[in-house]
Amino acid sequence: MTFSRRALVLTAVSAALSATLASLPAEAVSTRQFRLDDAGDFDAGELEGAMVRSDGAVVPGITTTRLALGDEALAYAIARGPGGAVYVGTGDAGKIYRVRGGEVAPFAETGQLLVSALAVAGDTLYAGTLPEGRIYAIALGDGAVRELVKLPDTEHVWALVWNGQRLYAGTGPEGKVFAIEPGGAASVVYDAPQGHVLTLALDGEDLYAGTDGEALVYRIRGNQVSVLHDFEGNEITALDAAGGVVAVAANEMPAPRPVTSSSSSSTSRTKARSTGKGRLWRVSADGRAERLFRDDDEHFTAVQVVGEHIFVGTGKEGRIHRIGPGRTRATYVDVDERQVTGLALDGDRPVFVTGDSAAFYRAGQAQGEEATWTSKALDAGFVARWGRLDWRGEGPIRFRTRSGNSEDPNETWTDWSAPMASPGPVRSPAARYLQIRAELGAGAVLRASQAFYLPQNQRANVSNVRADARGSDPDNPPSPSSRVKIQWSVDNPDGDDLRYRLRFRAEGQERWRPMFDEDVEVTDSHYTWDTSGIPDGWYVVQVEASDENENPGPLTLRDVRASEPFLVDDHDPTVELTLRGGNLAGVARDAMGPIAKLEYAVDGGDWHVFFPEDQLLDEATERFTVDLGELEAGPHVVAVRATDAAGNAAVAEIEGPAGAAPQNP
Amino acid sequence: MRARILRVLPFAAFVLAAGAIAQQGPSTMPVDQVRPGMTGYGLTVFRGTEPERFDVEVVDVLHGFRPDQDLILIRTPHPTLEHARAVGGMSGSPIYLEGKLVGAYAYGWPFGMDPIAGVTPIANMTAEMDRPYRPDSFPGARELALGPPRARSARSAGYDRRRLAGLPAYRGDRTDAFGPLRAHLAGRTPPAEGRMRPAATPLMLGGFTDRVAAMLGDEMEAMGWVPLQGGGGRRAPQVDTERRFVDGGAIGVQLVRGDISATAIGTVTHVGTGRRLVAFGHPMMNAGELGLPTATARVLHILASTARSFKIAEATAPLGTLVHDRQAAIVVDTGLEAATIPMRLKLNGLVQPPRDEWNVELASHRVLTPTLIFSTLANAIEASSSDKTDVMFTARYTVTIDGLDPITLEDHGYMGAGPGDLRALSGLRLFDLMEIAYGNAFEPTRLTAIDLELDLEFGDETLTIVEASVPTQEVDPGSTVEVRVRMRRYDESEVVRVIPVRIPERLAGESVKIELNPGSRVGVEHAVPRNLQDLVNRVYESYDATAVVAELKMPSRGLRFPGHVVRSLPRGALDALTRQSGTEPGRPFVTQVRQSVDVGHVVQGSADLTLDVRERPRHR
Repeated sequence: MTFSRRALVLTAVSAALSATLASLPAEAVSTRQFRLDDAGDFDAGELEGAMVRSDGAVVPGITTTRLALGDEALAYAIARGPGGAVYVGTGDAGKIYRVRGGEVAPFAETGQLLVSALAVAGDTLYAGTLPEGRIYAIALGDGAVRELVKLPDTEHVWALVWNGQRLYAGTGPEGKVFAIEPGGAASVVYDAPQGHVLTLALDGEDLYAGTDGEALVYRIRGNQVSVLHDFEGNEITALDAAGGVVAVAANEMPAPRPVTSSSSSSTSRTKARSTGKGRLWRVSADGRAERLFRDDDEHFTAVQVVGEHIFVGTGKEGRIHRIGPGRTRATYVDVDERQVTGLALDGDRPVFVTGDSAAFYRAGQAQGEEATWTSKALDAGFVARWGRLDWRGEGPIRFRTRSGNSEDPNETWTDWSAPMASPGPVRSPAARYLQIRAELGAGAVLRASQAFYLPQNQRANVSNVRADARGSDPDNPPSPSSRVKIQWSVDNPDGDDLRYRLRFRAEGQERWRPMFDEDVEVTDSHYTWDTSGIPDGWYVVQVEASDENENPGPLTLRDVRASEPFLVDDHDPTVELTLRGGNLAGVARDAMGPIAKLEYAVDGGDWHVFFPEDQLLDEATERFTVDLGELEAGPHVVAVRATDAAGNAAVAEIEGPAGAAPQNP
Repeated sequence: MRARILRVLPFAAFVLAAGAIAQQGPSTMPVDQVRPGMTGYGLTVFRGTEPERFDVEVVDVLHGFRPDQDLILIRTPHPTLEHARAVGGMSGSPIYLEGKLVGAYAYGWPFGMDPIAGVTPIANMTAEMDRPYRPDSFPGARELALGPPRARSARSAGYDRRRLAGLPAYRGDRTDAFGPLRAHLAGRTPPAEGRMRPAATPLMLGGFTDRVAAMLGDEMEAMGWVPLQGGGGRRAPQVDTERRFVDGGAIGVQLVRGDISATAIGTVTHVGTGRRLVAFGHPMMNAGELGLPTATARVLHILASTARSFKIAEATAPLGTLVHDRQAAIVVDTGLEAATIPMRLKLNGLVQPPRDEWNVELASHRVLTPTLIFSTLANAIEASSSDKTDVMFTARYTVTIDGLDPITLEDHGYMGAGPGDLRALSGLRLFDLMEIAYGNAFEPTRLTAIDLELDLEFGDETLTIVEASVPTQEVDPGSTVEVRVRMRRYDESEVVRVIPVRIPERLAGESVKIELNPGSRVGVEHAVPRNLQDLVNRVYESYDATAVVAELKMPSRGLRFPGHVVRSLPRGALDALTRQSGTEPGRPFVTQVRQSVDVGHVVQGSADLTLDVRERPRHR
């Protein structure tokens, strides 16, 4: 029994969860569940001998046996030879390996960077290489290497096919398709305007060629060249043709990153980069193009038609997808390596190769409980108590679970639990993360799984309680109002619904008084308080946050935070006046002070600002005298308006004798 | 004739070596017995080769001056030293108290007003005298008693360290004559003002022009060496003391000898009972095992100066090898003849020059040799022709490196201000080969000979790119565009050359820029070197200065791998080849399509033009 050894690399779990699986409030307000029931949910996990179908079912698939290819960086080409041998072209040392049975052995060396294409014809293995555009003929018997041809104006040989008489080569960077006779004579069959002919496939008399730059597939029949289809994307990385059906991997590859001095000289390991978007197409014999599968997260690197199925290898997660009739898709294989670069899945011994790093895989039908599906680490957000694990499916299915508090399952996690043959309580201890594994027997089909959990309640934290009182600004008294806006911030880690209670007390008092009745439920983080019913003075308010709406009494958590003291000043000052001749005198008083502004007006005229006797507006009581100057004869009404720092204003009037003589102060 | 003399010299050194080890060691006084006020004498050569006494008086002992090394402060009330104070070249002069050797005159204060000097204790120096050196340390050196050169042994860590001289291994980037020296100096910490520092080492230059001497001075002063005009050291030894080392006698470290010379001068502290001696009392470069040739020397005069005083001296007879360059002393093995690099320089194209061929032997060291070669080259040119006018040059040279076939290259250049305008020469690929020989990361090797012929042609024969044009700015993909390059030539009609540039079909719909540059300015993408030969191949893979190169920048990337360069990769293949599972991925670069034409003259200037490539050919 062999399994893929892919490490469970889990990143941004909590963010991904919201997109890939349901974590929903259930019947009880605090109980939640992980629900995994579609292909996306299951694809996010790891497969070992199992596959995920596009209808959201997990079924036993194939197992893989990995064979290392020396120290090579990547395998790039694969070809079947006689006697069950498989030949693998590799880089960065331009070697070819032969795999027979379980034995891997170096077979030939070209001295080039990469053996990028292979084709077997009789007792000869042809190897296309880069970067010098050379093709080698290698005797299958003894591995003797002979340079067949160096193609003119060619640096890359991307594809080779043998039609029984001659070899065809898809090349770059001039975008030419060459025909090469067994003796090495090469002629250009077609010179495409695109830079590279990356892939070739032969189907009867038709030779299909896929290009980069523009994602075109040409059909070459004798001397006739036509465009089979112009696909979306910028690169036909792979194609295959059989029985009039052409399968095409068309990719949208991102522009290469800018070259910097560090990138050109760095020898450090690079981080994973974003790759392209992949599209798999099928072109029927009648020329109708149908998109079978799209993946916006990774591009496709290899494609093969096997009977009624089309297999496509991917370039980021190292997977093979199988697309069957009716566009049903299954994630067929998932390996550790980054790229699946070559497929030979036909016949009774399916094999494939990978790049980054180089490996050769044999695929075989999973037997019994070799097939497992393992979820990614499911994040409860906080330490949680696990409830029931349930699933829906047919056939023999067993589940195991494990839990831990790190994002990546490691040695600090628990061991896998004993298998559960039927739904029941999760047997793993409380933790933040849970992982579940399904073991699928022959004929089993897993359609959905859900695990209930109760996350540990988290206290909401109230902070920054502030009262937007009118304030006290002697220089610029605000407009008078008795409404104070109370606001606060809250950190609510588990997202429970919260209700708030507000209380107040005068500065210097100890007893808090509720700001509103208990039946008033405040759920927003602000409240407007009418202060007209309380005396002027300095006050403090307190905000209490409670998650009682989501948690039963014993589990309810509260947090309380008070504001800084703030001034409530809703009352007007008073003004007393006397008038003797043209001399106005008086006193303005305010409960909270200070008096911020003094004005007078004569006979309803304009208001004139004046200062108190000490010339400073700094006290709650300000005495003043005003020389009104020379007034016309007759009685006059003199008004004085006093405004306090909170913007409250009062006006007093006094009537004086007519014709008062002007006096100097 | 000159070459014959050089061949004779090593033999002479062998004969002289027997007489070099003549003295028995005197008794010594440990530093803890030294007391302030003690008086004694020192030995140094004031003139000629015979050491003379000068009085000393102990001021005090400075403890812990260097790691495990004290410093004895002395006053030197000698009539000459009273006004000369710290004298460069006196470094190493033995100091005796109560008739016992106490150490070596070695340190002074810059601008000191009194004749105060620092003495390195003899115990620290004799400890170095007995220190063995690694058997692989001096490839090419010859045991005078045995005759054949020391075999170049297999790789050893010790060998590599000496070879790399403390610099990073050479990876193949372009360098110039001063690259290694400046990299070496960049890593040094200059002594703070007011700190006691080693008495300056006079570097006596013989046969150098003022200008080249000044240039050498600029480059080497930071090493603590002060170049001074001296003699060439070609005078045959006259007396016995000119053929052997004696305590207090002058010693030279010969960086260049032959038709020109550069010799660092110091004083022998003590000749041991074996074949070794210690000198200087301080390091020369503090480079450990060094392998530079040494010689006896003759003092002509002590030059007193308010800034720095020096001995004026010249080498008299090659003898021995500087085997240890350590904190307390340099150690010379008189039974070992250092390997040197013979260099022949032939100047052509000068009418009746005073001399047209120069032969020198160069000390072999990664940091020093390139600068010494350049100085030799510069000096020969300036000594032969000081004309201040335009000169074209062609340098043809063959460099012999152990383990490789002789490497022959030809470089062209232009010196705008006459033969003395030497900048162009510092960029010869010769200096890349120097770095390959010394600094390659693959195998030990050794530079063994340089033969260089320099053709000089007076006049400005350069072509300066004035303009580039094409018949039409819109071009077809896949077409070949004839880029017309107009070049100006001094006192001649303009020259027009056409460079056919093929526009790749994959540029359809793009706007592309074509740059036209002299070949000397075009950097070629090289494979990451896997071995010594790959490094050498990089030197060959470059455009000549007489080429005009049209470069067309492509949107695609290429990757450099060990031994391979792959260009114009499609994006999917670029992704596949950029492995993430290894530590040495391909190194990316922007693909350039290049077309060049050789115009037969050194090219200067540059131009560029932008073309719009149609989506489809008009007539297709």
